[in-house]
Amino acid sequence: MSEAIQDYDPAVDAPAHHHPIYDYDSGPPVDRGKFAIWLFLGTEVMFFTGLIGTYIVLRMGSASWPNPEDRLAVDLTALNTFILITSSWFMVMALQAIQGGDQGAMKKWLLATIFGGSVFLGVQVYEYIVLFQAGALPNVDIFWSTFYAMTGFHGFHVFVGIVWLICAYFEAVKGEYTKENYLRLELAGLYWHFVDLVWVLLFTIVYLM
Amino acid sequence: MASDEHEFNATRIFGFLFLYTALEVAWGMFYEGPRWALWGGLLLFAYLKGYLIFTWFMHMKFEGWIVKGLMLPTVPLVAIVIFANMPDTSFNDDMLYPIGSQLEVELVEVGERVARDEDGNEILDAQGNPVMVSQERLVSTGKVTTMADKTAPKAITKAQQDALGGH
Repeated sequence: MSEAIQDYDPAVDAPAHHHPIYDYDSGPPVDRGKFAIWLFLGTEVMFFTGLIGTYIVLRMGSASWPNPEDRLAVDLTALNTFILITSSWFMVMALQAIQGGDQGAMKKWLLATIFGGSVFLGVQVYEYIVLFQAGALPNVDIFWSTFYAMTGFHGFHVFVGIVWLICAYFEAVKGEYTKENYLRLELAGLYWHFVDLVWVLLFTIVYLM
Repeated sequence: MASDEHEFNATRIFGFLFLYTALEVAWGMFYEGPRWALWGGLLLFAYLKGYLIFTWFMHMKFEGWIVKGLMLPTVPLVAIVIFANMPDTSFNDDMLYPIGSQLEVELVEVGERVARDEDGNEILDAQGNPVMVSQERLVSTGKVTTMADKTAPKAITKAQQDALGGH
């Protein structure tokens, strides 16, 4: 080995910048998690469009359609709608609490959100049980098949949302969310609000129209 | 990294959501006017509620062009899914059997046939002659039953009222 190489000290002899340094982020100028959740919600919009769109087309093609009020308990479901909207508000309050650095309030609002969602799901399961007992099965006619397809898939989304929020709650208990870092809670909230938004449309179309 | 913090009065938004829901339910249950007005009112309330949730609760008001751009393609796609399918089925008065209807059938006696046992052998009477039984066939009555003609299971309301303590 030559003397020149032996004496070479990279810390001293190497040029200051022997490779290019990029000072930009090649990703979109938005949080990756937020980008991903909105992309996902876009696909969810299309998923429910498939269901609601099919319902509209089938209903418009039907010679007649039963009055939903004659077949469904609109009053009970209206109450359930209030519960889901309230839980959505609880979620906003949870996020605003952590934005203000109040961990205790965030946990309380988060628990209230989970409770509201669970009550909603419980009432929907109860509705299904009573309808099944009354003989209103999905194969009876197209009213019931579309009803169960739309409300069933929405109910599954509510279930996923509750599981997601419970995971978020355990993260909150571990102190993972702070005033500076609460993005994951915000993402769970976005999904929860979306589920609420879909129900607002479903309630109008399935139960009232 | 935390997202941008945007303060707004969530309770006020919730109040409007509550009010619109109450008005929508009242409109849907008690309005007796023409259907276009009933549906128009319901869709207006649904739009107002959806707008509030989407804009404020989901923070779309504060998002940049990228997030807004992600949701924008869904608008024409939704329209395509619904309106592209409509000509096939909807607003078509000439359909022989409209969607959701059933053709009524009845059992009609069309003659007699030889009675056979489970193994397919002819059943004979005491004199050794084959036993004859009536032969029936499902025949269309020509009448179409729509969903509205059927008895609607209303049991849910009573059971739920009982569960809610006479609510």
